[in-house]
Amino acid sequence: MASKISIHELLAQLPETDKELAAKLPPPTTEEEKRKRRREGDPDPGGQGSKFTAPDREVMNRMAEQVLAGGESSVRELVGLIQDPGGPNFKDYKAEYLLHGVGVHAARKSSARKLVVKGITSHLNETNTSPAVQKILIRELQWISGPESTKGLGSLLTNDAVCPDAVTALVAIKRGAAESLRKALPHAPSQCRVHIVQGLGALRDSKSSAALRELLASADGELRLTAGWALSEIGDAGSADGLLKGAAASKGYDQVKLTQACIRLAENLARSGKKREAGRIYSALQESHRQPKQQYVRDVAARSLAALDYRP
Amino acid sequence: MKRILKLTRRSFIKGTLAAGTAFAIVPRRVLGGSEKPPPSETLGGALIGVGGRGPGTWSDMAKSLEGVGLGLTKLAECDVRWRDRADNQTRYTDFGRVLERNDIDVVAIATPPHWHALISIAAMEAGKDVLCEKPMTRFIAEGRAVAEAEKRYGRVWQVCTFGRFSASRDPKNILTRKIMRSGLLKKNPAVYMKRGGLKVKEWSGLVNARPQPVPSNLDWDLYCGPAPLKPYHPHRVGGTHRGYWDYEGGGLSDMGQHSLDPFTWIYGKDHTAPIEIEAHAPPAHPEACGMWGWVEMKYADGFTLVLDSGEWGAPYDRKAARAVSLEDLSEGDQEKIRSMPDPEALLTFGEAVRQRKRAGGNADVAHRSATLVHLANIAIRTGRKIRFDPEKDQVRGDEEANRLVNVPMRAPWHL
Repeated sequence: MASKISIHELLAQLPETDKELAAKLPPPTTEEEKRKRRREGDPDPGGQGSKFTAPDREVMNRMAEQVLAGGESSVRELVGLIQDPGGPNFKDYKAEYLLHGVGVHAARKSSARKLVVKGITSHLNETNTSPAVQKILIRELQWISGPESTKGLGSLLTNDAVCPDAVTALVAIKRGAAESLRKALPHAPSQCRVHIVQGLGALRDSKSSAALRELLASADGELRLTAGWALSEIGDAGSADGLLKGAAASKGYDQVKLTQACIRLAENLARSGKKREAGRIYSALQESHRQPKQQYVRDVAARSLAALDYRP
Repeated sequence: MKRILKLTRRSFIKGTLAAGTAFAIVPRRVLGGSEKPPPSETLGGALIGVGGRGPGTWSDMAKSLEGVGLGLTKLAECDVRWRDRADNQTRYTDFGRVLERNDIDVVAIATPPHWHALISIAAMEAGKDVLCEKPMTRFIAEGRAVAEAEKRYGRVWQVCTFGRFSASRDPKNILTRKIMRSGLLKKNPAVYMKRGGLKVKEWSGLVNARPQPVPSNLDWDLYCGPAPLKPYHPHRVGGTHRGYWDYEGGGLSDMGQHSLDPFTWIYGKDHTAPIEIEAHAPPAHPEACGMWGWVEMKYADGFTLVLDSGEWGAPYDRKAARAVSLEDLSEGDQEKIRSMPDPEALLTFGEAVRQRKRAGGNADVAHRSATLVHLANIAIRTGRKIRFDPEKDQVRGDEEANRLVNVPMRAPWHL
């Protein structure tokens, strides 16, 4: 087993950035050197932003093993050093980078992965963890976490600062995620609802179909369109009428998107063997999209009906 | 003199792609007519993404249409940096307002890549034909979605990199493609090397960058779009956006499709993808694209593709470059190759629009060349050998890597 080493000592082993290295160089003495430095330029004049070159992978693997050897407390210590890049205590990239390296290294070993996830999750809901740091931690969970994080991420779905990140992490995790999203939907503030609805659609959660159908009548246009998409992804036959009505009544870009939702719903219904339901949607689109500029929609419907071999 | 078959704008633009509708086209000016095509042969166009490549993309589209006697009028331009000057008549920040216009037939897309797939799909949903900048996509699943939309709506979609067109006219390349696609090579010994020219350092992202106030003319939320909403820093916008996984994938994403698109045509790999990908690279930063050395990709038939940046670590030395030739086949098989018909000529964007057929750089083939770039980046970011299923477009046996194949989007944006 690797001996415990201080996290600060590990961080000190990570490379300096290009800017830090350049600051240590003596002033240029030749015209060519001056031209070279001007060419390379400073990508963040006046700031500390810089490109950098990472250590060899063997070095990172060794560092990761040293962090893991220290157990959960070691991971938690590392997580605790991550600062908001916009905050007064931000020093450099190293803690965030090392945590990511540890996670990627641990991902293939179940016990190591769970250790890292636990260390991250322990900070996620602490009151003194800023939204900026929460987003960093959620990003790491999106990389390596499994169903063990869905509850913790679910508790963030009503926090509008981090809800979007929590949803994308849940969608990436997939297993066990839909339940957290479904539970949060009724209580979520308005800014979070569209994210949660999209998450349910991305996960094709048929258990949320009834709740999503109600949103087809929402006064919030974005929510309406997203619910329509979600229902089409789920393949919910019961939403066909609502979607067709919406597509016929709407205008402009909204109509484009709702028409697409109808077509996608029909495709998914056909795929699941519901030819009659799919055919009904295509036939309805042929009737509702009569303008000359909508010929391409009628063509989609005609081709699809022919492929279905369906006669209304 | 070839006869010009004159179609109304409505019939050849509003109709879907049709097989077997070929026309002989001679630009009007060649016959000594007036330079400007009549309104019936003039398309309404929009440019979405006006910085950097935007004017070039527009110009490429205009020239391609001009080549088949079609005029093009720019009716709208759209850019998220135009909050201070958008009038929603000719200048927009919201591409949805552009796409809902009935007078727009064709769209050139030159936004950062994290928007390419979504706007391509939305444009085709709205009945437009599309010329889209490379890289086609930011992640693999987007390519499949664009290809599905292209077929579903019968629109023309072309990636804005054209190396495959000149490659497809070279007799040497035609022979290589025939050999590769013939199925006669039981174990493919060829090794294709792409060395350098991938701007790895140039398009690296920054670490330690402190957030800055968002400029008043920039709709930062819309700029980020499907990507996570991160604190603003000017390095994330305007060319240097290439250095961030959120929007692109470094120099490999920026430059890779230029050379890999003709590569897939020449080597007959524009219908499939590698099954094994391995990178020699330092551990990647989670936000900022950085340095890498080489990536080796193997196809199911044994063919090997190597990308060697020449910018980090020791050069690739596992195998030497090796072409494929008739000598790799028996005499009988060589004869079969010689008697094979040449591949069909690739249609330009303009020809495809005119004839309502698929363009040479259509979404299916562009997806395959973009996939090479994304697979390489997945191997770089995970530090592991990746096994890929080209039929399902999924990584096999590596859930973490597979999460980079289809990256969840920020609402309300979705495939």
